[in-house]
Amino acid sequence: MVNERSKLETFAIYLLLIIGSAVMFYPFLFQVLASIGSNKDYYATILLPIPTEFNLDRYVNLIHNSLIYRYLINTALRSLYFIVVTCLVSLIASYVFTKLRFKGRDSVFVVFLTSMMIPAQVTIIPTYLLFARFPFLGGNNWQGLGGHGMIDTWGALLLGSGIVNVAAIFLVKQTMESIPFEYEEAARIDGAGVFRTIFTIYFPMVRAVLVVIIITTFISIWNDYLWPLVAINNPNIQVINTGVTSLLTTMMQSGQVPEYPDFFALTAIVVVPPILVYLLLQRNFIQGYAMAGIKG
Amino acid sequence: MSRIPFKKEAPRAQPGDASLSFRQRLRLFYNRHRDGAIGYSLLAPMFAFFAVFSLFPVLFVIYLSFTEWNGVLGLPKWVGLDNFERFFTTGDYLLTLLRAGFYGLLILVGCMSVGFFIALLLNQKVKGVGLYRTLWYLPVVVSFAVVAQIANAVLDPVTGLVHNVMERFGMETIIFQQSVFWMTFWLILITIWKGIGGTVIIYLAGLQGIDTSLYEAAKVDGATRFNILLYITLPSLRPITMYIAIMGIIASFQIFEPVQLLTRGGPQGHTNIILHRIYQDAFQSFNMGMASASSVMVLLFTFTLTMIQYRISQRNQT
Repeated sequence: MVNERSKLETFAIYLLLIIGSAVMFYPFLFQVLASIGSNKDYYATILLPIPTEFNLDRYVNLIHNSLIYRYLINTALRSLYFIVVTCLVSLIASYVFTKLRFKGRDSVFVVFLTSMMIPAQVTIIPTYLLFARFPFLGGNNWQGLGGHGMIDTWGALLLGSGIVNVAAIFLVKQTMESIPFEYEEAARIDGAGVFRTIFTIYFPMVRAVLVVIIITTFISIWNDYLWPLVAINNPNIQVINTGVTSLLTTMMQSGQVPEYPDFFALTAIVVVPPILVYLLLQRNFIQGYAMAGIKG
Repeated sequence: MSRIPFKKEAPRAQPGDASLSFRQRLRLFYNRHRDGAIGYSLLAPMFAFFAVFSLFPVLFVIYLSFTEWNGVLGLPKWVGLDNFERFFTTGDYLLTLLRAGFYGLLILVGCMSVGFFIALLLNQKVKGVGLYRTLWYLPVVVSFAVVAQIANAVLDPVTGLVHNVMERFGMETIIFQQSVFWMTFWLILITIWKGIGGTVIIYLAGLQGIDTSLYEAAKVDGATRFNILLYITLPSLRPITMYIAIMGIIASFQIFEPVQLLTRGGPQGHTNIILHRIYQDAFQSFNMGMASASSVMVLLFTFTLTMIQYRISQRNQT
């Protein structure tokens, strides 16, 4: 852009950027440092609790806590499940929408797309009632009354509108559209079946965009809060985000707030995994986000 | 017949072809409609899930908004427009909706001005753009609920860090939880901090998409940097700004965690916003009809704003 830049200007730009980035990063740094040092280190400082000794005892204790361990396992299973489902569904659906030619194909896609305009929070009530009053499940009769339906079961964690993730389908479809149709012709001439075509020909070509979908799915499932809050009461099948948050609310209301370092360790367990995933794979992530954000 | 033919080379069974058996006719029919058969059979299960978990809830919430139901016993009772009448006349329903929009505006102003400024800085050929961008985006990927709980602990009137720091520096301490102004302030500040990374990335992508020849031409004509910003950069980013603005207002109807965990709608319901109101109606008072009516109002607002956004983006393309 503008090439001539005075030293003062350069300095000002870097200064602003560094201060700004520090503000964004500071809370996480504070949290992690406070949780790995000793209590004495923490209370000796104000701005940044620099640890004089390094210990992960607090995290080890949390993992040994059977409840937190359960939450972590549940969240990991749920994330894995949604990652697999979302990848499969978006691969197959975008194959159908780009490589097969039949009447009504585009209308079906438009119906899918329209649903993207409806924010999930608006349908939280009907979705809750759909799960709670689902006929013949969880002690319900044919009218959906009498039992608890799928509420408080794994069904509530594994089903839902996330199964058909339209944004993910959209993203994969964009990529698949750019693949020339000759590949499809070649596959058919060689006698490859539909699934073989999808998984041996297209899957390797859209791998980059699938990585984006894996990261976004992981982060959104890991950070899912409202749905587990209304749908799950049983601590054995609760997920980490809602579980830890509710645990903290109970503690705060009863006035038994843990020491700050313990508190920060407990919250770091929820906050750190998405950050790590994001930092490791952020190059893909930002491209995907910008792509989806502007086009979607 | 092992390989699957294309539609263009698949012959149609002629009406006079009496020699063809039913099976052969079926085969010819399938060959012609093979794509459709496979397509629909692959889409059918997806569409079934989609219909049950995405389409049905929308219709269901519209139906429920005309009924009264506690969601547990009996069946919904039709009450016509009663819930909507209540939405507009009694309680704080309309207020919580407008408040959400107002917070949305404040958050937008913060996110857009700072976000645009940071994107401008990042676009100035600085070293380590990736690192800054990464750091700015960090808050977006973490759990809002946990962020709200951390804020809760930090702002605690007795043990909170902010309290301790103020005390140590000899300032007069404030009990934030009793002040509408301060709770609104923290709510908005935290939401801006949490969401600004997205704005930065969208603006940066927009800035990088501006044709550099425009800048060169302006420089040749002797335009100052301020003029370039005013007459080239800002107009080029107008579609993106509109997009961010409308999406930001829509997102403000979905703010939940900080209100539920940090302010609990208080003090005295003065920071309550629509989604939290819906939650209270549905899961604390078990008034599903009223909660659904509020949801439908949010849906209408969102739908209108999305349509406006769509219209604008269409107009910009032509």
